[in-house]
Amino acid sequence: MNSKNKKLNSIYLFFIILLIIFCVGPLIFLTCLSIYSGDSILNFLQNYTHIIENKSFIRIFCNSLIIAIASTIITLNLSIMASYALTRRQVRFRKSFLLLFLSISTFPSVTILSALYMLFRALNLRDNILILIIIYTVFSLPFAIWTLAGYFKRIPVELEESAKLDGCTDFSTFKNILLPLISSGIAFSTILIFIYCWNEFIFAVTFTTTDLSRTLPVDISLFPPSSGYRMGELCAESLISSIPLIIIILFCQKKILSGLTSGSVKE
Amino acid sequence: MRKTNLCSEEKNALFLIAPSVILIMLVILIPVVYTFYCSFSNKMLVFHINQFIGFDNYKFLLQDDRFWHSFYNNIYFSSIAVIIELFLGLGIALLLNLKFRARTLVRAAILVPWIMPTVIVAKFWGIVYTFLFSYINTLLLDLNIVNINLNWREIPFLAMSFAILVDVWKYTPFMVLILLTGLQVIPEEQYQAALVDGANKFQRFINVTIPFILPNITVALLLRTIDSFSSFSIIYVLINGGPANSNEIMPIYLFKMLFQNLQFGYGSAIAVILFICILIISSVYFIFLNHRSKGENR
Repeated sequence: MNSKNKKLNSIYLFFIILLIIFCVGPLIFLTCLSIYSGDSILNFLQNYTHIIENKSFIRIFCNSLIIAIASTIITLNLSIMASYALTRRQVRFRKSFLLLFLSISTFPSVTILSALYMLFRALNLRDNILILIIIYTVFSLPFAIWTLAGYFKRIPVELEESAKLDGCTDFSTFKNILLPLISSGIAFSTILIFIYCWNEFIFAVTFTTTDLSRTLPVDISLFPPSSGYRMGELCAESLISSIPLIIIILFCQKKILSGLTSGSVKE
Repeated sequence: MRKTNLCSEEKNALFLIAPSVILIMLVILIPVVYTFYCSFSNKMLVFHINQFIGFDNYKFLLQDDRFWHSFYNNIYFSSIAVIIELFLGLGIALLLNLKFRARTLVRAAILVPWIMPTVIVAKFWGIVYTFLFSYINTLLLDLNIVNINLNWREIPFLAMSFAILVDVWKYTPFMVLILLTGLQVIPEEQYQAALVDGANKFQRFINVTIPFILPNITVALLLRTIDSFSSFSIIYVLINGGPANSNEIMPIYLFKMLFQNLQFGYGSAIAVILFICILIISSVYFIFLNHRSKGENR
């Protein structure tokens, strides 16, 4: 049995290593391309200094960061409120509400591009990071509410009742008992909302025209196509904008995996 | 007394839900209705043209070759990509479900493609695409098979296949993660029972594993089909629907119609068709899931 296991392991090991190369290899290749600048190996940071010296890059990076953080915070507050009310309070049509949120969470964003464009044009909001903050907030709300509702549902009602008997008000029960219990759900949705806001492209490319509101994905998409001209800078910028995501993978991968496993994606 | 209490409690609760619902109404539901409305008019923003034309947009749509081509491309792109992702994802999920050391490390590695921004992924593979074909060209020139540089980028089939490949690279991990969550909850006893009954490896896979993870497969397929059917970034950044509009999918055609041709009325009609397609796809899956869960309850 043991020897058979070992034999199998060597085949599996091969596939697993292949898998890792396929997944992480491109990132390493990207790093190599970003370091390579053509003239000398010694100034390997040339591409990076080029980008950071460029004033618009700092602005764009800040835009991305502000948009992602602002929409994550707003979404979290709103979705915690809504999912709390939908699961811990008596509300008519709560099932329909939850179903509505679930079905909207897979909404194809391309289809309302024209209407949203006209809406924000009518509001005279143009090239403003506010537009993207609003859109990202609304588009991540259904997912966040649905996920957090799943976490809230798992807390037994008795816990809340006994807290009330001990003299806790609704708010202090919520703050001191419920909130700590759903902290892993909050962490999971924070991570996913942030990733969504940081990576989103189609709204960003529609609603941003200048550096005032442009985000990193749009800036990267504006690099000339195919290799050659400014390729090193493209790779360097890609790598810089992946840094928050790499940090997330390194430090929060357990949260993501456990969040996915705990059935928030499943029905 | 008690009734009024309940009422005020419900009022408070609705007060907590209201902001989210109002925001979703304003930014998603009303725009959907407005898009429907716009699809019946001839609307060009910059020229202030706005007239009601009834079904003319849809009549034009039926004869529009470019639209039907994008429709066909959409089906081709998402079905091929999703099928490859499903089988590849199933294989990888089975592999990762085995017990071995550094399992978490591999799972973290799996997250990389899924977490990377789509634009960066598309740009990166665009560079690889160019490198690959310039290498093939030099090889062919050196071997004296051809004597000119072939322009591989101009072959629609290759460009589309490459786009599918990028989609597979980016989204198979998502498939793996969802299938893995299903595989992890299969009780070991089920396999042992099947083993006692004399089922071989393949039979165990078909009769134990597949039924258990069928809901996960359905959910993964649902999410991936919807997502790839309305996917935009990969094809837009990688090949921009080219060469010569031959690889346009509906979202790309829609985007070009809106922001290059400024045809907001006709663009809305395309959006409505796309929306209906996605509605049909998701309702098929929902019916399937519902049917299954009812069968389980019985």
